[in-house]
Amino acid sequence: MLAKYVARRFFASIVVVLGVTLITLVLMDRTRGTYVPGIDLNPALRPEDIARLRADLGLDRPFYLWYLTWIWGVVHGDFGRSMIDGSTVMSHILDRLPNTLELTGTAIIIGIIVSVPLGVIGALRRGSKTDHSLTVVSVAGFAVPQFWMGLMLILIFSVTLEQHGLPWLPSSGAFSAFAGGDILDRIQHLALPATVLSFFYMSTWSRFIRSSMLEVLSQDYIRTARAKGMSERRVVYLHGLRNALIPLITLIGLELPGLVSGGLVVEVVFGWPGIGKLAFERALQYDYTTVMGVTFFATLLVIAGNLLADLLYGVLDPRIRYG
Amino acid sequence: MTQPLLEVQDLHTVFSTKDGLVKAVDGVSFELNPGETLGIVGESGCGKSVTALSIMRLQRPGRIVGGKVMFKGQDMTRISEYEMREIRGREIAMIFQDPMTSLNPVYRVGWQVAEPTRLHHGWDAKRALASAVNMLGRVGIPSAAARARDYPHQFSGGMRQRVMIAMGLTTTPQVLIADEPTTALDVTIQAQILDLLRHVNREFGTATILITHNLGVVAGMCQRLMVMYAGKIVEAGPTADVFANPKHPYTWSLLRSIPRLDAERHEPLKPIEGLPPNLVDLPNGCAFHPRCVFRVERCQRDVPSLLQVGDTQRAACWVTQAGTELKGA
Amino acid sequence: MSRDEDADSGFQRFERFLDEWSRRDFLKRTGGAAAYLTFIAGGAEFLEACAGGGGTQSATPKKGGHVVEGNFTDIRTLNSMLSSDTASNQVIGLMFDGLLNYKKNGDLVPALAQDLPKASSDGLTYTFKLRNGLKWSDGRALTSDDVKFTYQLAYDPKYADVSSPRRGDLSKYIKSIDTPDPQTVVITTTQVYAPFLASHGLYGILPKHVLGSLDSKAINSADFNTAPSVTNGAFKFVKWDKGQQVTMERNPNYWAGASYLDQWIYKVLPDSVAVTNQLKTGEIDIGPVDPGQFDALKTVDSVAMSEFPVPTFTFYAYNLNPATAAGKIFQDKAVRQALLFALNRQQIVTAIFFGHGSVANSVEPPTSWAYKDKPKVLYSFDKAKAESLLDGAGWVKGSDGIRAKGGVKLKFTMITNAGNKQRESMLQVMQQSWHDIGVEATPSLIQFPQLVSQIVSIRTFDMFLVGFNWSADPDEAPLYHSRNAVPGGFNGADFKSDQVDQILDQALSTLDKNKRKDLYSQFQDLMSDEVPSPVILFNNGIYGVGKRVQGTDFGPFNQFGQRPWNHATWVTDGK
Repeated sequence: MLAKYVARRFFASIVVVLGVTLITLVLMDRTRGTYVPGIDLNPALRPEDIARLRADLGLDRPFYLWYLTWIWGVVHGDFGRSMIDGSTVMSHILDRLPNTLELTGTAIIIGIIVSVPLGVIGALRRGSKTDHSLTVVSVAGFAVPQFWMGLMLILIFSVTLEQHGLPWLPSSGAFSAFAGGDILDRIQHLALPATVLSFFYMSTWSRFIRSSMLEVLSQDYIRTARAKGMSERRVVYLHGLRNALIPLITLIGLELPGLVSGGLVVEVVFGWPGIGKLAFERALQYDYTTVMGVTFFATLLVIAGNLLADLLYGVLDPRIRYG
Repeated sequence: MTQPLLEVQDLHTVFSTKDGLVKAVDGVSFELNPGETLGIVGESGCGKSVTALSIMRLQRPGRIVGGKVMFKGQDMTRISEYEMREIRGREIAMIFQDPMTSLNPVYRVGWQVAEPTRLHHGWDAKRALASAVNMLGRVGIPSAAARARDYPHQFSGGMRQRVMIAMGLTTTPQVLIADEPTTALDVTIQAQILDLLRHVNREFGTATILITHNLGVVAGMCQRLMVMYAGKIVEAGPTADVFANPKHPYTWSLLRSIPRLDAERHEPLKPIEGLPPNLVDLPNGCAFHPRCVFRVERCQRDVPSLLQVGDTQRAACWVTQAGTELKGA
Repeated sequence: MSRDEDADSGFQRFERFLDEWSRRDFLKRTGGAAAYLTFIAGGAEFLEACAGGGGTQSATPKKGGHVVEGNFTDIRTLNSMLSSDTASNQVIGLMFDGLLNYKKNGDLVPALAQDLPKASSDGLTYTFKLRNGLKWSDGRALTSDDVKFTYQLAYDPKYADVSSPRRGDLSKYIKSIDTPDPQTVVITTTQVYAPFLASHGLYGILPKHVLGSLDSKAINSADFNTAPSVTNGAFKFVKWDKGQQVTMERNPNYWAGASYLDQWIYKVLPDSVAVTNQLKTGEIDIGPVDPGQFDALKTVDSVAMSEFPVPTFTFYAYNLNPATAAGKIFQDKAVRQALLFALNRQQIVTAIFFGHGSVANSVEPPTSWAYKDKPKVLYSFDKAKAESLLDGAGWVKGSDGIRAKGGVKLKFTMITNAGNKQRESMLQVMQQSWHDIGVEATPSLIQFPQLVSQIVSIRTFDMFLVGFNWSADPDEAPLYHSRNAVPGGFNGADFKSDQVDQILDQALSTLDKNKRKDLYSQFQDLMSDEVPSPVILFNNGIYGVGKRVQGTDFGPFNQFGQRPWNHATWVTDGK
């Protein structure tokens, strides 16, 4: 029964979320020292102010008390306020999460769209020069560090193009300051970061599709399909690819959790206002509440991503049925 | 005398391997007449499957390097791939050995069985499916309409083979090639499938080539048979005659090696001496001679051709061509 | 029949030919026209360029358009009494005026107040008269009630739960605020406090009619803090896209006149390279330029550079707590002075800051009115002197080249925050320079929060290197007064001197500028001798401003916030 399966996964996930958030809190607390979040080196702040701030934030209590207070809030739907800027954690997450999903979602889609044909070509033309050059590109794709690629793309497509008076792509942010949400503007801003992020997916998935395809094409049912007199194209794409893609779904499913955190490097390099960048900055500033809130949601999304991948697998492969 | 439906003339198919060239089919010639069932028998690696695949031009990565395959006045080794596809699955259908893996696991059975008529006859999905369901029923699958919506993994081995047979017959082909159709099934199911094939042959009039290593299967099914060894036909003729009076030492040894119910309890089995030949490194002369108890000097030097021996049989053996009868312990 | 057909087809052919021909011609003509127009336009631009090379105030201001200003951090809050970080203050300054503002050289100018206030003869009471006709962006009148309300949030016990970082100072120094009439504010201080106006007269005034009904806790979490519904400054709030930008638009009710610009946008950028790139592409119009990026931008036609000294500086501090191992070493003034003599600070300015700064002669910044250019002890780069000082103090070079005295080696660890290239490089220069005179100094990089913890409370460091900046007032008590040496204060070096304490206190408690100048002169002399926390350099602030932006006037005290000219900015292309 599908409902039972989902319910079982749900309860298991509660344990995971509790564990992850608790560990996160302990890590932050142990390394924080006496630092009070939000304090800059501001000579106008007096020792009494700092002490009061520490008490306000609940940081003069042991971490488990802080944790229990936080959990109590979460159960009531209150994720508290950022220790750095006082805005509600939910407002930060709601503001940033769509940006991250936009970025990583686009990257995954680009990854799928590009990797499938590349992988199929590699399989069909195994051993040819085309195959070898695709292999080189793939390896480069996941060997090249994202931040380097990001900076290179900015150099080429933002700075150099602009210098020569050619149309150029913006290098930071999700939209132009004054474009007012114009779709084309958003797409322009998405172009470079999504490309960098998708490169990794493209490389790994195209290799995977290639080998999956090769394996599928050596199966007996492909021989049967040919014996039925259908065109090679139909054999490869209708009978072959459908089978070859199934394991890819698992791979993509494994990436779904990365939807939230995978773009972190790219977000920082491109100043993309997403959840990854938020978590990164706030972790360094010991903004407990924000980090815990982001961790909570990230964990939920990881779990949801895994579940979705498993369910998808069941949809695509009729041999799998969940009981 | 009616025209043969299919005529294979001196077919040569080779495979290039890292150890050398393998002549999988080395000069094979035979005919298939309308409505008859022809058996091709031999050990694994003798070339019987490759022969069948070559007829269908599915022999890749092997290459057909000589000979002709005449079907309906055309040499199928010469026609374009496009024309070949018109024939495959429509005029000549083939079913394979392992039904467990020969069906596509992600598509429903009815859809797969309906595919040939959709492709070759251009029928719309509904009509093709109805015809498929009908065929499934005729091959003995109960509740065919419901079962057509099932996936291959929901069928047993025997049922799957029936599905394969149905799939091959939907376009009412003239020739059905069955490559070891029962080898992967257990004995009781084997009998059912063979019954089905016999029934199909009678009802549809489809000429059948039945490939097997099991002489027992051939006995009940085929009017004529061919025995292959190391890529060549070593004996051919009506089944009854070949069984009663084998004209090639290999056939003779095969028949002798079959355990018999009426043999003495303690009599040891009589296997064929030696090992199957290495196709890259065939012996000189007759390929069977190292294992042959009747061999003579000439066998080591000259390759025998398939010639008439006796009234109805042909055999490729110096010894029997010279008139010697095969007798032994 | 066939002849007709022929004719028909022939005619069709001819028609087609006509079409082709006229299309070709049309293209040629339009192409020509287009080329001509482009030439004209280009020519016009060319002439324009010849005429007005990078002009500042060349033409009459145009109304309309926007300016995008970039910086590195996102804002935290838009409530002037809750903010403590530069970014928030910067954006608040665009939307909220205070009683007073700064000119770029640090002089106070009246903003919401009509004139600079008169102080009473005892120096305890300041009387402000607000301008006539002050209005909030929603049209309501801005009165003395609003001013009193704003300050109450920090000093009045009624609002004790409002998390204002200003509470410490304001509750200490404000005795009472009276509002005898809607345009008069009288602030009475508890003691004579010289920096009062400069430090506390500039806070953006908040609207009582929006926040007045809320209690303390509600004020802390008010929506107003992240989306101010009314403002009194040059711009009003439109939107905050978290992590990206704050969008503001013209406030037509601004007392100094409605801004020329339609919008001012504050944009968050990842790093200094992004600033450079985006100034080049025009994605931002104004941005702070890192010294390392100066040369890259200098040659760009569309950007004008503005450079000026600022009261930002980098200094290192000796741990003077006698209970620590380092403290025992650094107790010795000769050591402290010698280490400074051994440091080639000009080289640091040139190599690490690319010349965009000046070696500090004094603890006071050159921008301050109290700055003394030649205090009692001047430190040039003098390695020989350093060595002789150390020799004279009994620090003898050992066989390993490191000096030692009484069994104690002259070695210590220097900490700074990782991720700041300039500070990391400075530590290396210091390590090398001091190695040359027989001192073993080891750099150690730690995270910024840990550095703050060290400076402010833990204090197990030997020496730290960090940056700071002063406000317009020359008071430096936070770093050097002994009362700030307690945990929580910024006197991390644990410097305690009765004499310095006395001078600093005296200078705070008189409003006589001349007297103060004299006192600070003594202070700088003392500090130059004691050098508990030597200042390496004072930075220059560098701004890149797109040439289409006019009417800006950046200066040491108008760098980020407190700019009285925001409303006067305009753009040449009106976009």
